[in-house]
Amino acid sequence: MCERQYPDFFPVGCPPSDAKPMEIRVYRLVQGNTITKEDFKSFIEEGRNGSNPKFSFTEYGLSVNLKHEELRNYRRAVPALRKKFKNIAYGITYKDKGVVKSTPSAKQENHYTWWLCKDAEPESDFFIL
Amino acid sequence: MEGPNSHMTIDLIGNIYVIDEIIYYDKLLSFSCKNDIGNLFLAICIELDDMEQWLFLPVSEARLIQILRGSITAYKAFEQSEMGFIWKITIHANYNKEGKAEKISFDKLADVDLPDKDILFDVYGEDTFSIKRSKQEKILEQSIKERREIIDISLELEQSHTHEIGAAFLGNVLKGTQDIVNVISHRQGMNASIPKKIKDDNKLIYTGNYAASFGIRLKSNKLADIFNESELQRNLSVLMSLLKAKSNAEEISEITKELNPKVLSHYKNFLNLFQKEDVAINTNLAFPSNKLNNVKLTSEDIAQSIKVLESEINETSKEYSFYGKIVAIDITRNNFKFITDDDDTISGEIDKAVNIEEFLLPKRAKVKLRVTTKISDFNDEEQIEYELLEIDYNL
Repeated sequence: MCERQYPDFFPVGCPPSDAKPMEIRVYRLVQGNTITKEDFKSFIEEGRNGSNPKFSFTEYGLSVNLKHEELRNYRRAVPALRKKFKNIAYGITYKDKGVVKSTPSAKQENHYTWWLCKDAEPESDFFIL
Repeated sequence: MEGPNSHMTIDLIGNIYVIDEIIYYDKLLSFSCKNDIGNLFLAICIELDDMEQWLFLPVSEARLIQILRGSITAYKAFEQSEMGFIWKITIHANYNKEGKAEKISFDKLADVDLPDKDILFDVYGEDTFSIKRSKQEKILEQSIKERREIIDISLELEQSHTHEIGAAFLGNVLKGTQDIVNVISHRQGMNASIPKKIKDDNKLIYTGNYAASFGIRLKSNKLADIFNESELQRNLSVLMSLLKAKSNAEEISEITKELNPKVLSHYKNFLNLFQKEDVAINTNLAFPSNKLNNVKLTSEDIAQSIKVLESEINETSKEYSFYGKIVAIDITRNNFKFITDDDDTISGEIDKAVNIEEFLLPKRAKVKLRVTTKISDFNDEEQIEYELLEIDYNL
């Protein structure tokens, strides 16, 4: 159970104050045929530079999408995503797991960022399509 | 030298600055960018290992606009590299400042290293067909401010989301729109020629494009009257009613019953323009009288409407009365010639029931005619036949 405690590696001001606890159905790319904790690691946790020039702190959160079709098109557009992620999973962003914020762009109208609480275990709430 | 706000630094290219974000998923994975001396690139990540791999396609400004407007697929842009090569970049996942570039040719890439062949990076276009409410309100504001009618027609090719369109097709759409408005206005006119006054009152001006799949903006040439109304508004409203009726034969018949019989065939030709190119349309009208009107027709709607119009107009026959002058009567051939007060010349057969007396011509008269419109099965051309049913000289 999270009481709005976030991982220690989050910088001050992260997650942004306009990110809210919201229960929405979202889609996320996953690597294998079973969902693991690894599928919910941010690129920062993976040791990858993931800054976004448009929105602050998105690299500490996870990309999720409201529309399955839109997410499928990301994978069709970016070869690295196609190679790394074999499946699409869906689940609910339960309020006790973290906060979400709409972070869209021209090609990504339904893109949201989800900042997970410390010790959240979203993998148990997600299912492969 | 490392740039202070650069997104990446690559040995043979320099500092990289992001211009347009294309795909962000946990990190920015595709974007357009430039280096310190303004060279432009389309960047895409192809491997997310500890050492990431990227493709940087060098592009001219014109090509980049083409890509970002969706006029060319991302795959084709790489395949038809303007410089004949692509930069392949290797860079540490956690340190974006020591990228290594090597030149490769397109044939060294496998399809797995490229976007799917039908993917467009159309970030400058609208993904949805509909014009958002706020945009409609802006059109209305403009219409009121300028006291001119505004008609926006968004053309969407069903098979792709391209933002370019053939010049000949565009020309036909512009001409077709003006023609249908003119013929709607020419209520009593039976002949092909539209009087100059009608043309002047209904003249539309092409004022440019607006943000849509392919958006055409037309405005009235004349200003609306002091009540913010005009003849053009009435005719554009009729056109919108026809579009909204879609394939409802009863409604189409109700709308056109007081109009020139040629309207149906002109309207069918207008819809045929879109069907031939497999184009859907979204039309927004704004009037200075503070009225907004919107209608969308999918390709399926257009096909269904045409089907109904074809059955309606293969042969229609209606009776109309006209004032003017009888100028010729040939009782041996049983035909007549009549010039209406609008200067339309009409000739045709005389019905047997009409009693032809001796008189000097020309003679002023009111005539009742049966007007039959037929569409040729061979060339789809319209034929109009007139039959004289009654003559009344007692005016």
